[in-house]
Order: sequence, then structure tokens, then C-alpha cells
Amino acid sequence: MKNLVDELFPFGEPDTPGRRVVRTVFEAFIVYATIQLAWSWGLYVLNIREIVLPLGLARYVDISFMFGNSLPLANAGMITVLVIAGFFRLGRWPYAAAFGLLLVQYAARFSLGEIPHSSNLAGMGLLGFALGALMYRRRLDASRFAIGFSYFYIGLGYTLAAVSKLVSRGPAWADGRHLWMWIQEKSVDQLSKTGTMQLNSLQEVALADHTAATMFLSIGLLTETFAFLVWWRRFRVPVCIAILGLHMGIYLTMNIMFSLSVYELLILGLPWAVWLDRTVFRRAAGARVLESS
Amino acid sequence: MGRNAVVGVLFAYAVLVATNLGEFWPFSIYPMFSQAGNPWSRAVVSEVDGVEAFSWEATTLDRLAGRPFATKPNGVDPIDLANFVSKTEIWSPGRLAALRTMFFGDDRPDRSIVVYRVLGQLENDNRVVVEAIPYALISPDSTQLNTSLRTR
Repeated sequence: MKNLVDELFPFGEPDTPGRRVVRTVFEAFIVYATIQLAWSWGLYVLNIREIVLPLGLARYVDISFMFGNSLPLANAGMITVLVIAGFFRLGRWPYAAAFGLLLVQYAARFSLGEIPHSSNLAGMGLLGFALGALMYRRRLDASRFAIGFSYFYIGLGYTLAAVSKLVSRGPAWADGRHLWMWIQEKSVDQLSKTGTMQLNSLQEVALADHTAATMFLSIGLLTETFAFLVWWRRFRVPVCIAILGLHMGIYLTMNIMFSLSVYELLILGLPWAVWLDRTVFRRAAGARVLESS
Repeated sequence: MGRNAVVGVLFAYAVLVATNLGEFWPFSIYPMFSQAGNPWSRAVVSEVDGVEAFSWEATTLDRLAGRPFATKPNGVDPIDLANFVSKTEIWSPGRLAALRTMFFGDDRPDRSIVVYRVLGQLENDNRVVVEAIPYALISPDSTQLNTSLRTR
């Protein structure tokens, strides 16, 4: 357990310019994602009048007070101000307050039946920064906590998805006929969304060949099952690349793109800090040595 | 401190998903696509020119009335629409009005559209069979409902 804690939260590790860049970029991404979600959700709530399926907070609080007025926009504005304040460390509570208000915004937006998952990783990232800011005075420690927290819940989330599938259907979940059903279903969604329905080459291959369709699902299921290995640094890059491949496969077969999750995996999953330290910052350090001599 | 925070959140995660049908954003058991092979229900919309000769019979996707009406450019999320249509059990006047508001806000409809519920299921011969059932016809002057749907 101690080793896993050290893998996720390397507080004693020396800092480098490359690591500082990655931490700052990730935090800026979480701020951007929060603002984007707050406004896109808020604008959509303006056209909602009825609760069909209450989710989250809406199961305990009548969220209809958010309908038929400009509260969703005011809430989005407040969330924006709070995350920017959090990014510039104007107090230790802004991120936590923004997280609370975003819970309300989510409950209002998703009260018509849809249960999305495209924003869950970004939400966990915001929670990580909120907790980090509350627990640690130093920005370095708070950011390291948020990143380790994010790695933990990335691994947990994808592995839970595999568990849900295996509990529901067992290994038979990967039967290629299931992919046929989803391709048809998502094609109808595409028709609804754009007015046209067009299958791509990968979808046509899957629909024509049961073995290929089964293989696609099997690879996806295995990727999710072993996603928890991202908790250990030596597996982080290959597991994140595999998950990125999973998302690409989901996009090509079912026209679903989890954009925010993909961006987060690109930031956290690739060894940017190592590359930057070995190239940009090594050259800069070498130049400074030459100048001083 | 970091480990304690992760464990604390994990406990909250477990309690919240266990008591809220697996979902309490941003916590989730991620059950999407776990119900493999089950019949599914979606929605599509057509724009029609007249309402007089409209048929309420179920049909196929290649024989929908009028022409396709794209929901996204018109500010409607297709998943929301699909869930709204499939999860509504009683089509009260308020629910019908909410469907109209989803498309046209508080404005009078400027065209006539048909909202179909689309059902898909796997047959024994490994074919996916898809059927479209007209649920509502929204026009500038009226909103009509398929008479087979429950209104109270």
C-alpha cells in the first residue's frame, strides 16, 4: 500500500521544469473544462421545463428552481469566476465552491433522461484540485495531489466500466452481435442529430463479420479491465495509450467522442515532462552554462 | 494526508453510487454499454408540410414521413430527446408542452415536425430489426399525440 501511495503521490520527488509545465497545463485544462461545462450546461437548461429523470442532487432537491429564469447563466458566471480565482490561488476555497455549484448545474442540465459520462473525469479532476487546495498550502503539493488523485480515479473508472460489463453479461458481453446492435442504435442517433445516416468502413467491416466485431469488443474489454495498472508509473504510458485507442475505436464504431477524457489522457498519459526536460529545458540549461563560462 | 483523502473520497463514492442507482456525478459505476444485446429505444424527427394526410402507423426508417429534421443544429440534444420520449409514461399536457418547448422554446412553432420513437431489437436470425413509431405531431396550430399513448 505504501508503494502505491508513493506511485500516486510523489511528494518527496525533486521538481523539474518539465513537471512544472505539465502540472500547470493540466490545471489550466481542468479550469477550461469546468468553464466549458458550466456554460454549455447552463445554456441548455434555458430550454428545460420538466424533470423526467432526476439525477444526483436532483434526487434530493427539487431542481426546478433552475428552470424558466437566468439562474443557470448566473451560476455559470459564478463558477467561471471561482475557478479562475482558484487557478490564481486567491484563497483556498474557490475550487471547492466551484465544484459544489457545478453539481447544481449538472443536476439541472441532466434532468431529461440522459446520463452522460463524458465529463466525469474532468469533474474528478476539479474535485482533486479542490481537495488539494484545501489540504496543502504549497501549490506544488496541491497540484501533485490533484494529479495523483486523477490517476487513481482514471484507473478506477475504466476498470469499474469493465466490471459493470462482466457482472451484466460475463465474457459473452464481447459477442459481436452486441456491437451490431450498438452500431444500428448510434446510426439512428446520427440520423436524429444530423439528418443523415452514413456507415464508415470500420462499421461496415464489423457489421459484415461477426468475428471482427467480437474481436473489437474483446480488445476494448481487456483494455478497460487492466486500466487500474495506470496507478503504477511503469504502466502509465502504455495503459493510457491503450485507453486512447479504446476511445478512438468507440468513436469510429459508434460515433461517440469523449473529448474531455481524451484531452485529459493526452496530458497525463504521455511522458511530456521527460521529453521537455530532455530537450527544451536541457538545451536551455546548457545555454545558461555556456553563457556563464 | 493524500492517502486519507483518496480513501475518504472512495468511501463517499461507494456510498453515493450505491444509494443513487450507480450515478452521482462525477461518481459512477460506468454502466453504459453493460446491457449488451438488450432492445434499445431512440428518437428521430421529420419535418412535414401538411398534417392532414399524416399516418400514425409504425414504419421503417427509410419510409418516414416528410424529410429528416436535424436536432443538433436546432438546439436539441438527440439523447435527451430519445430519453424524453422513451421514459415518459404519461403524456400529460405539461409533458407535451415540454416537448414543444424543447424544440421551439417559448416561441410559436414555425414548422410542422413529427417525433418518432425508434425501437431496435435482435431477432433469432441475428438480424437487427428497427421500427419507427410516430409519437407526436407538432405544428404551428396544434400538438397532436398518438392516440395509443397514455395521457393520464
